[in-house]
Amino acid sequence: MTDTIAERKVVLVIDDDEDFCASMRELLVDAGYDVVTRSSGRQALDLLHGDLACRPAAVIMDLRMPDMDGYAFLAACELEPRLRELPVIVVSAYGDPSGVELDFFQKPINVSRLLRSLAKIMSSSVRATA
Amino acid sequence: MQVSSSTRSLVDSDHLGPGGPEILIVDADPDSRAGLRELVEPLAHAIDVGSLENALPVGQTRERAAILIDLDLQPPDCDGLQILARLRESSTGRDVPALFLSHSSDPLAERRGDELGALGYLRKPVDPAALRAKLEVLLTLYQRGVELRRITAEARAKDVHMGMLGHDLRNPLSAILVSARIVLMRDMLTPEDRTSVARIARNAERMAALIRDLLDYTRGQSAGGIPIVRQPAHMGEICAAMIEDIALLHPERPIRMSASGKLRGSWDRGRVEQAISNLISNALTHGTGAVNLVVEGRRGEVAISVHNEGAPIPEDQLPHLFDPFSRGETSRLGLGLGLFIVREILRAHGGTVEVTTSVDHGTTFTTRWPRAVRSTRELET
Repeated sequence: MTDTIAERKVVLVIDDDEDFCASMRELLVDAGYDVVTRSSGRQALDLLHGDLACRPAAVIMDLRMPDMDGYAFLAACELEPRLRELPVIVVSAYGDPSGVELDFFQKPINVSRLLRSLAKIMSSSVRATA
Repeated sequence: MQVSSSTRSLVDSDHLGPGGPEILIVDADPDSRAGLRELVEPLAHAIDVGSLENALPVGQTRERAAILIDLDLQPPDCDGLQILARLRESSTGRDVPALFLSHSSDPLAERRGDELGALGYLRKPVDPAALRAKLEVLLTLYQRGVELRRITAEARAKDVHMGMLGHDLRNPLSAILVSARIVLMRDMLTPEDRTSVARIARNAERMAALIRDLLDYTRGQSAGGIPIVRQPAHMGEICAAMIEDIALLHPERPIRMSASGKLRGSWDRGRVEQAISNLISNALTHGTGAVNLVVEGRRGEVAISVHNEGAPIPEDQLPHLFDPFSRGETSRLGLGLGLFIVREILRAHGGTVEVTTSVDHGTTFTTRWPRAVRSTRELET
């Protein structure tokens, strides 16, 4: 591993399914990312508003959640210039999301494809900031 | 005029539930109406609209078992034929069986009545036995219609519940599969443990595939096919990535692939994966030894064939191989939806799937994926 702690990118996982969050944490930590999990869109927004240091490089998010669902979270992000460009990967057990043009993964997700998708997001953000 | 206690007027008809059959009486003559009510009441709720102006608003409130209309009604804008014609324009009156009643025979009026779907004409004064006989037949048909609608609604509700269950199962399955994959990818297992974890993942994948096929089947039935979204893709890359995933779960079975020709085109990647993984899964289940994929770029299309050695598919199964639920009752391997879904995915892409099977050469499924020809289904959507 050539990564240092400072270089590890943060991925925010938003899903009310605790086991799914836990498994994603293990997967992504193994793949070299830092992981923060939240169980609703509302909690995720609070996190994004509260702690600027914890700006995730990507978000992996379920659509159906209590409190604030994925669609509402996306709509809220769209209203804020700072969050508008946040790369979001949608994972859902309930078929294709309607009216959302984003990376979409059907649960149960294909792990290697998700990792490839995430790597692509990270490399394009590196290019963008370079 | 004496009104028997069992008759119901327009006013209290509003309190009737939709449960019991109702027969609408449209007649301008109060005495005639009273007579009809008494004949109808033993069989069904008589809904006497009273004045003719009420015929349409009351007739349109809900579907009745039958409507009795006086054909002698004379007002210029409100005769019996016009009332039925107007009722036919509403969803509740479109199919309601209508019987006309009149003092005399008027061939022209009856012909117009026939065009409006009138079931018959009774002379006034009405012969009670004749009316009762007709009403009994209509009520029997009505009850069967009600029963059929109830059964259809229940079947739909079951489909919806099955769909919800299928979707809900994907959440726990997702946690199982991701966790199993993590352990396999960490590569820290003893060979024995690795075999066990691969078995967990393999079977969770099978469950996921069964759920996906079942949901696609029920959705396809209601939506008229499997929807696809074409995007630029490379068949060689799609197949190589899939084989890598599947091979991890079947360490004991070699899965080989060869690719040639131009492999770029426009397909629904997820659906290609679903179709080919169904074929590979079949080859692993029913065949022996290695599974061979040949991906071949041809003029206008890419062909992907999946081959396995082993006993050929019995000849009597071949004609129905791609039909849904086609497996024999003795099979314990699933619903038999896999190949049906493969065919539907190919059909949505404007492609085909064929099979050859023999003792000497094993079994080969060949799928042909047109690169960009837009299928009928895509053009429709």
